[in-house]
Amino acid sequence: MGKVVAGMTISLDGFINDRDGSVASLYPDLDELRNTEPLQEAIRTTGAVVMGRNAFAMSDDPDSYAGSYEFQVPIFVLTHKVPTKHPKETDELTFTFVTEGMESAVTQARAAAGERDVAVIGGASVIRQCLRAGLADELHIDVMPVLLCDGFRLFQGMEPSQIQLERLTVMELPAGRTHLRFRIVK
Amino acid sequence: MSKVTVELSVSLDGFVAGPHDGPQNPMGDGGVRLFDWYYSGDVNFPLPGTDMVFQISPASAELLRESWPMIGASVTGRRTFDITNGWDGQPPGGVPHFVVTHAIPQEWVREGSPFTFVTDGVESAVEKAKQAAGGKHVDIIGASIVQQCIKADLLDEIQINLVPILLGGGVRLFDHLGSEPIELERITVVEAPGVTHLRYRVVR
Repeated sequence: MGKVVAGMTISLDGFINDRDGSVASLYPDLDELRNTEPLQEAIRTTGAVVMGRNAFAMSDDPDSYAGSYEFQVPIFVLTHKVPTKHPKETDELTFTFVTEGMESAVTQARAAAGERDVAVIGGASVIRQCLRAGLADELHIDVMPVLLCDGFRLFQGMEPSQIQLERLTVMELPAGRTHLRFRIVK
Repeated sequence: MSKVTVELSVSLDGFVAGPHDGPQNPMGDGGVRLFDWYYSGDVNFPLPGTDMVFQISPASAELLRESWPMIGASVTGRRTFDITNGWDGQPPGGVPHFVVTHAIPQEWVREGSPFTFVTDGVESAVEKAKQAAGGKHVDIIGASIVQQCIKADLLDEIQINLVPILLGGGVRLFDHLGSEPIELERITVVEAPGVTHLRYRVVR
């Protein structure tokens, strides 16, 4: 059985976007990021993706996931409301809109992933729900070399008792991106 | 050229002290865990200027052996000064120490005191500390003074000793900085047991 890996990119001061809601300053390396070892590894090992409705909506055209998104695997979107138009799918990439909450999304994603991992890719609220529910095995945090000073904080409202971490590895990636992996102690 | 630097242990959620910090609870609730890495290795590192001896990992020791001798003076705020009770007269580093305050605590004004109290603001304190540092670095201690230095564009380098815990509240290192992004450049990353040392330059 694969792992459940929650991952997110933050600024050094802990924000997942800036005051305007933009993540642009956290991804100056969007093109080269795909060629980095951690992302290449994730593409190899990920068998299903869980994302929140806001993360899903970050693509202007939901039909563009099929064929171009880095993870061509079943995608489970946590949402309160299923979109009227189902996005384009392929043999590899399918969409399931989950309205019964985090646990259901991860259970379904695990089943779809089989021996491979489940990547929980955000947004912040989805990551927090995943951590609080004790569903994640690893937390991967990419720290970017910027202080955004304003925006949404990844760990806002989380209590110390909700998670115990042990750092696994650290990787220095291009553009000042620092990839940190933590094991979640259960 | 004298650089203005900060080196602090910070939780993954960005706190340098837990909730309810004060003289009776200097690190706040749970905050003492930020210093676990100081006492979980097998290399002795005597903290200059104090009676304290850390037991740290070889990787952390190598870093501290380089960084501490570079410090020529320190600047701290009155709140940190009071919470530590003036480090009982032994501020870390054993270097001239400038305290930014509105009111001078007369009990600390005496011959041979390591402290100079500065009542005309953080810029003045940093300037005085630079003069005292003799070309070495000025180390900033305490979140509020770090924030004031960032806003006044005085800070050159930031070293975060990132500890993999959440504190859930308390004193944030990066807070009240306005809303304009501040660009950094990563200098070094050192992976050590229980802590990740991340050093950045502030880009101007």
